[in-house]
Amino acid sequence: MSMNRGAMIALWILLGLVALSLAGPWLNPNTIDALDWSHVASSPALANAHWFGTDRLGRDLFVRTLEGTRMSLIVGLVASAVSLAVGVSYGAICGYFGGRTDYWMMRIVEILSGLPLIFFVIFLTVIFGRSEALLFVCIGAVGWLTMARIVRGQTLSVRRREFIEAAVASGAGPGRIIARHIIPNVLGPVIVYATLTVPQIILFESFLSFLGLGVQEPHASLGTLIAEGAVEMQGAPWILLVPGIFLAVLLLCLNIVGDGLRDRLAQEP
Amino acid sequence: MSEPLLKVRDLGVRFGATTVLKDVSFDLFAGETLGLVGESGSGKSTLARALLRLVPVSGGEVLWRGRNLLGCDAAEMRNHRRELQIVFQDPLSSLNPRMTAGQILAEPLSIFERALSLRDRQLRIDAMLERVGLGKAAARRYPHEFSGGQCQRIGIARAMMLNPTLLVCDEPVSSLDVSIQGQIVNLLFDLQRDFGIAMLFISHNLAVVRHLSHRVLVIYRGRQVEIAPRDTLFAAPVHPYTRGLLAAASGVALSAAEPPATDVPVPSGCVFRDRCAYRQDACAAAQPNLEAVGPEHLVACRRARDLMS
Amino acid sequence: MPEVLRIEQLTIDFLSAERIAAVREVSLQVSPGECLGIVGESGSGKSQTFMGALGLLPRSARATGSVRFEGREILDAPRAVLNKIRGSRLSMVFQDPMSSLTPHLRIGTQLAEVLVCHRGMSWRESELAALRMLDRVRVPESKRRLRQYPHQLSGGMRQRVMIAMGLLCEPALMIADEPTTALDVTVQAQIIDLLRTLRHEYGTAFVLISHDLAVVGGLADRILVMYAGRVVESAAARDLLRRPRHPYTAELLRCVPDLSGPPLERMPSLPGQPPDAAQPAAGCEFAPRCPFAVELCRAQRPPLRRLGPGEVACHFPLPS
Repeated sequence: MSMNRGAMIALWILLGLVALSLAGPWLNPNTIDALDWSHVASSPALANAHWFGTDRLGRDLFVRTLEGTRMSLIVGLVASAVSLAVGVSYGAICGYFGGRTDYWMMRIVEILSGLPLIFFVIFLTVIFGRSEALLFVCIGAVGWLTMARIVRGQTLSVRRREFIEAAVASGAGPGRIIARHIIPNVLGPVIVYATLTVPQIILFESFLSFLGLGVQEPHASLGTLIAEGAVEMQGAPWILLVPGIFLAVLLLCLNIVGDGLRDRLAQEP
Repeated sequence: MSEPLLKVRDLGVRFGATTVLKDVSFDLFAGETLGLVGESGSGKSTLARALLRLVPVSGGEVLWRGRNLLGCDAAEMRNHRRELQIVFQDPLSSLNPRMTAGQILAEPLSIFERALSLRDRQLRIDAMLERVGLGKAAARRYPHEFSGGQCQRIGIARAMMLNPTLLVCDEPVSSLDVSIQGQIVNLLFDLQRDFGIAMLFISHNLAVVRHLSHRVLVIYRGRQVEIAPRDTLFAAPVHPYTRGLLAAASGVALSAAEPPATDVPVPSGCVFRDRCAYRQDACAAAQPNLEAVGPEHLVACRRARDLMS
Repeated sequence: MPEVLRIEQLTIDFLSAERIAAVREVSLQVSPGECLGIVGESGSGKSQTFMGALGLLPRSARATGSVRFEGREILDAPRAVLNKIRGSRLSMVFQDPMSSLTPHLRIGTQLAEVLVCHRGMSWRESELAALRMLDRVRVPESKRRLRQYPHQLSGGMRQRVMIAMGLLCEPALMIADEPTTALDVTVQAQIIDLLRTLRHEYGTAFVLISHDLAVVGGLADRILVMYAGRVVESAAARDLLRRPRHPYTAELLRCVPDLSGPPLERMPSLPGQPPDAAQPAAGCEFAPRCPFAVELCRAQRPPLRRLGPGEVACHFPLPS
């Protein structure tokens, strides 16, 4: 399945980033938490091993940025996968059954949507302390909501189509109809939305990490790196620029690929 | 006369405040085709779906082999569905675009005959594809790769997979080119002859109904107006509406006016009163009941006797 | 008097991998006030011919040949030129009125819009003209219908509204693409009758496209039969219906239902189905389904030739 040229280029860049973040550490001898006192806040240089420079504590930025990218991707992909699974099932069930089931299930969605999320996260962090698990829980609690709404809407229109009636007439039960008839036919918009969810979640996680919630030391995510870099912006701009550029490129490519997928899927018969 | 397979009594369907069907009653015997004729808005498609409980029914009974389908629980109804199948009007939209023809045909088997081995299942699918004139290779293709007529064959094959006893055909050829319609009609004719199925054949096209039906039921704005053996209906229709339909279809004359849009209320008394050339004051009183005017010939018209002479 | 429409050797190709019938070297003309019927099965290219002529095809379509409307070449004309012609001098009525009418605008608005755009009339005047036109196309309770939305009208009424829209600017030519196909058989006769009346009232030329020969036969002066993107027969309607020269036309005639005769065992139909446009044959495209086909037919494509007052593309045309 090929998309337009821009999207294919973005896809390759994305794959390159993924490969880099996975293989990167092997390319560079430094570790993410090794403190190099001889090169504190040094600018990028090819001569020494610090290709992207170091941060305020002398940690190599190349390795840390790649770790950050890895972390952001993992959070983005895992949380998206969970929100996809939960959101699609939830939305399909609401849309198919309608009536009271739909009514109450959607009220739950609306309540969760109305939660002041940041306060919620801060509150939980105060109680349970900073942890990645908490991050996953918080993102997981809200990541699926919009997906559920979208799938519910799509299900409502697919439900009217004649082949659903035909399936009922063939004796299929609700489970089979939802799994084999409804979900495969709503996948188009779902896939597109899923690819756009990934950058949203990454951005959200970065934001939380930037605020000091979520990923803890010595691990890094693009958000924490950007937070650190913001402080040093005047004196050592690369500490901000490197993770910033990585984040921007990552998000841009994900969005372009999402658009390309939508255009491609819109052409299907 | 043997017992009818299907007995419909006073069937009524309402969508909100609108009455779509009222007091529909008829019998269907094994191996016969009952043609159901009506214009858009007559409720004929709703009747097809009501019989199979694909739409909620507000009144009446549908007795299948003596059991009221409307009173069955989900499990029992599911069981009955083996014998009661339906072919839809729009061939393409009645097929799941994400499933191949083979998968579409496999589904009824997965639901009702789970014990079948994969090989036997494939044999059954191939045999059915051949029987409807498509060939084994069709199993791997998707609906959008077929023409309208071919899609309809797949729909018929799906309905036939479990050897049903009753096949409801809701305008199965109306979406097809005139030159292809005959292929599908003849296929249905052959299947009925070979498998002994009873058929309810719904159409607005009298010419098509004429080919397949043993008896014909005419419906207008949700009510039955006439039911008769085919030859009788076409040679000597009694109800003014039936006469108008035949005249229009033969190109002899135009029917009085178009069927009214669904938002125009049904007149009190006889449902056809406002378009009828033979109306009298008595017609405003109540919808006339079906009365016998000949062998197996029933008409819902106060002036039936007059009109016959 | 110049012809209203003259199409010469129109050939349309689709560059993408879509399964749409191509059009091959189609030539036809329509004189003022004449009704030309185009008959063919789905996929014969009958709609594509006129969509292509009017510039309504997607960008992946490439058209060559000549299309002259009122003496002016319009094939590949710039959008501005086409927009002035379409809707005013030349109107088109499509098959499914539900998708042709904007669902969220009232009927009156959609009708009046045509006059406001093309004639520069005020909304008030346009709505009055629209009301008069609705009466002319025999929509009952026209004043009420004007304020309604498309979904509130029946199929037959929507089609009348489309016809009304097409006639508002008193075009020289109206193209009706399968105007009765989505309608009940009984309503079809009424729409055909309406078109016949309007033709005499307005003197508009018509092109009537359908897969149903009976529908076309009731209205057309001349009939063109298309198969697999080509014209296979062209003749005066009376001649074609009584003495078809091409086997395909004869088969189509056979399929026209006849309620007057006794009920037949088998409903007449054509075997097989129309060919796939993606795989053109070397010989006659109809050969696989033709009861009279021989080797020559499969090997060599018969050119469209004059035969009496009409034209046929067949090696062995039926005797007259």
